[in-house]
Amino acid sequence: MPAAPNSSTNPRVIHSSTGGAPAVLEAAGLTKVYGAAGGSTHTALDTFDLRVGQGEFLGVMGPSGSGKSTLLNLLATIDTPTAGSVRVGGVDPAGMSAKQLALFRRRQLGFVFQEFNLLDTLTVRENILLPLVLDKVKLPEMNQRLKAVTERLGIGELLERRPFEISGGQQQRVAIARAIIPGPAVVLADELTGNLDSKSALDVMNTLQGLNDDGVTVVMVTHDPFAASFCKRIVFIKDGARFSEMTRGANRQTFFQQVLDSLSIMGGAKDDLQAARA
Amino acid sequence: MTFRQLALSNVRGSALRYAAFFLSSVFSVLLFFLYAQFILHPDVTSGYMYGGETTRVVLTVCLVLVAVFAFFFVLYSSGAFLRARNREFGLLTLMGTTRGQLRRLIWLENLILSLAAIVVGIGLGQLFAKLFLMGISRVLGLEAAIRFMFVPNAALLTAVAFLVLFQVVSLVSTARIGGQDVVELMRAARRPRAVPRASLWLALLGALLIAAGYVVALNVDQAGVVVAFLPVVATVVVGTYLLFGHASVKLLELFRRADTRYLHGTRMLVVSQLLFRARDNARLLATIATLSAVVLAAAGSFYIFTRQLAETTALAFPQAITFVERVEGAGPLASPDHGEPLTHQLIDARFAEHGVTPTLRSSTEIHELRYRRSGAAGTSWLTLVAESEYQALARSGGFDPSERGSPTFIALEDGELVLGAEEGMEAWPVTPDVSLPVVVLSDWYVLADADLAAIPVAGREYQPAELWLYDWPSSDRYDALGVDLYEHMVAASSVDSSGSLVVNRMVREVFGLSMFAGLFVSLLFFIGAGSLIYFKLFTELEGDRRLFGRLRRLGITPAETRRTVTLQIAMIFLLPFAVGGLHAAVALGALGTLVMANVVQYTLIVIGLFALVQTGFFLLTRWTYLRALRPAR
Repeated sequence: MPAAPNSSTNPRVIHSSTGGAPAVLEAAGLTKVYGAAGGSTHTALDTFDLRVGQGEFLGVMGPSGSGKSTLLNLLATIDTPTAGSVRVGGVDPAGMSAKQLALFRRRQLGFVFQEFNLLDTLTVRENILLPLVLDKVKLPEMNQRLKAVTERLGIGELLERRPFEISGGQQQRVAIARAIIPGPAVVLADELTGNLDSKSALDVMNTLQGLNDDGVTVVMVTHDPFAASFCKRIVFIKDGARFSEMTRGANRQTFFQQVLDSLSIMGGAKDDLQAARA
Repeated sequence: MTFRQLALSNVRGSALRYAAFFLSSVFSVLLFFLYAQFILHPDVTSGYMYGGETTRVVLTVCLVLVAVFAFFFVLYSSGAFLRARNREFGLLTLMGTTRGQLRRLIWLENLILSLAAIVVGIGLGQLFAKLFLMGISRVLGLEAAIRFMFVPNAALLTAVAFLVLFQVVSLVSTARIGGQDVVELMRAARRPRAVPRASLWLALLGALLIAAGYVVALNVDQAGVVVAFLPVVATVVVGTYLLFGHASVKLLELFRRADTRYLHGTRMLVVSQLLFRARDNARLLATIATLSAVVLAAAGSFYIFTRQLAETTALAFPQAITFVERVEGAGPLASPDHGEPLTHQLIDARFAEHGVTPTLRSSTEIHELRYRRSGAAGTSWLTLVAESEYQALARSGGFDPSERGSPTFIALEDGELVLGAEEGMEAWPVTPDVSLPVVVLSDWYVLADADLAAIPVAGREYQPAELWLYDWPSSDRYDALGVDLYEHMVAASSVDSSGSLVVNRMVREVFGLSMFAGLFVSLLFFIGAGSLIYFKLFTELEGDRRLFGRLRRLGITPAETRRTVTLQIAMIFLLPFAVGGLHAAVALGALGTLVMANVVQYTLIVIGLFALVQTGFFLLTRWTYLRALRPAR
């Protein structure tokens, strides 16, 4: 992996509430403006700073149109910022070629999507192995990693099935397996419980929390307070800017209530609240 | 937003799908129109055709074939088009569109699209006709076997045929619509494809049928070919369908089980994609393989026929032009009934005018006499050459002067020259396969100088003459000098002239239209077979775009995308072509038995040409695909 040194060191002081843990993901002054030059523009994200430490479980919450999806796309390197920078594991992907970016995503970032994004033509096993197969990892190592990951996630019996033959919760766990198998610096999850019933959502969130306990860094975008209550820290954003931030104590139930309160303070999220299952 | 605006933005939104369906329709119309225009062309309906009525029947059968092919092609495209829009139909139903309205909408849409396709197809066809004519005329070296013109009957036939065709397709496709629930329609676009299933036994049966067909085809003798033809063709066609439907799936499954090879880079994506599409594509690929085989075999036979004709000509007439310059007024052959007598000075002047230096310009003295064949009643002309003259001539033409046919005797009986006598002067026939060019009019014999001098010519029908032979580097291409010589010297004079230039020109005049037809039909089917896959892949583009969009987010590099797409498309182009090529090679091998000639070289040339056309289509498809898959930003 060519470690592109970041020449444009941003002098901005990065706000952090996690103290000493080394930063896995850093965003500084991240800005995204949509729209044509001269025409009407829309600032989806406005000089946004974020620091995610090693082993963190960060939630990003906000109402629809708050800019949280834009933030995730920028962190995921599938969109380029108008201004500001992103660093993953100390590396700034700006200025990378298309190929370097793809390899960077494949090795450093794990993705979990609302709509699973599993390939129908591949079996569960092949879907999980996809990033390793593309990287031409040796077969014994692939099998070894596959065994570890599938045992950890409890999907060992599904390996020869097809994505459409298993339940939504199982599909999402397969997607998580695919996201963590390359050993990425951070797992980015986008509304991962959005397509699941409450039982499956609980399963998936427990899985994710378990992985986080094992040391996997997770950044999750959601507007589901239940899912968010699994996070260690939540950043609320509204209209493209940081609104508030809160850190979880010992009790998840208490935290869930705090999240609900925060959302109602933020306002405009009433509709989201009603839609969200609790 | 008015309803019309909604419909318009709808069209714009799924422009790619509309384009795929529209273009395949236009293409079918174009193909049919080109073909109809050819067989309904006045120059074809009234011209000479090698094989006469049979050829015409074959051409008409081909027209029906093109129509059937067009029907299934349009039906297929229409099906894919409507399937891709199931969500939209579901939405319309949800908003309260009745089933009848939906059908009417689709029917109306189809009608508009088909009318546009017919108009555009005929228009483009007319444009392409000119291109086709020019291309084929150039290949055949003919000015024009048929004129470029608009044939109203062909346009009418095309319009009517396709109006009916599109209506039938419309009925068939709308009948499929409406039976499903709204939810089903809405989800249809996302419904995953089932895992393909194949039978090992059917796969083996397919291989066995093809092998059996091949063995029979290659071992059958001349008499057996006619009897074996249809059963072999039927066996191989069935075998081909089984091969693509079952054997291909089985082979891919086998590969899929080999972890070390399969789980390596983009191979996994290619193989799994191909496996899922194998069943979808089986019928189409088998059809293309069969079509390719037929086209290749037909084009090959046609090519072999024309090449053999050309080779025979070249063998019989090694020089471009030969003519006999006779001494004025010395005999019956010397009095031309029209035109100027041809002299070597006239020819030399033409060479000088075109600035061409002849590679061969020699002459020899010949003697034409009346003779009677032993045992026969009538007399005719015999050409005699002195031994010394013959040797010089043969050497100048690059032939071995010692090579000659088996000798016969010429004797003088009652003052009459008799050929094939019991004894007399030894005479060696000069035949095309042995040595020198022949002048078509009479038999040629070489006589010892002394013997020739001993024949008394007084009071005999006798004509001393000079045989001129010319050749120049580009004579075989029928260049400007060739045209000039033929039109102003050979055709305008009454003199005996011959040579490859003259004979080839005659052959072209006689077989021109037939050659034109052969080339035309082959070309049309070549293009048809190639573009079929092109349009087929077009219909799959939408799904692949989604797939590669997902893969891009997971981190697939542009190079990996290119490799996956290239391999996938290459396999789909390559497989039917390879199978079709093999079939054609075997068929042409059998043809070699039939005409008792070695056809390997010709077969390779025809298959190579077809490979070139297919490669062109492959590159075009790959380019289109990669362009469409490129991320929007």
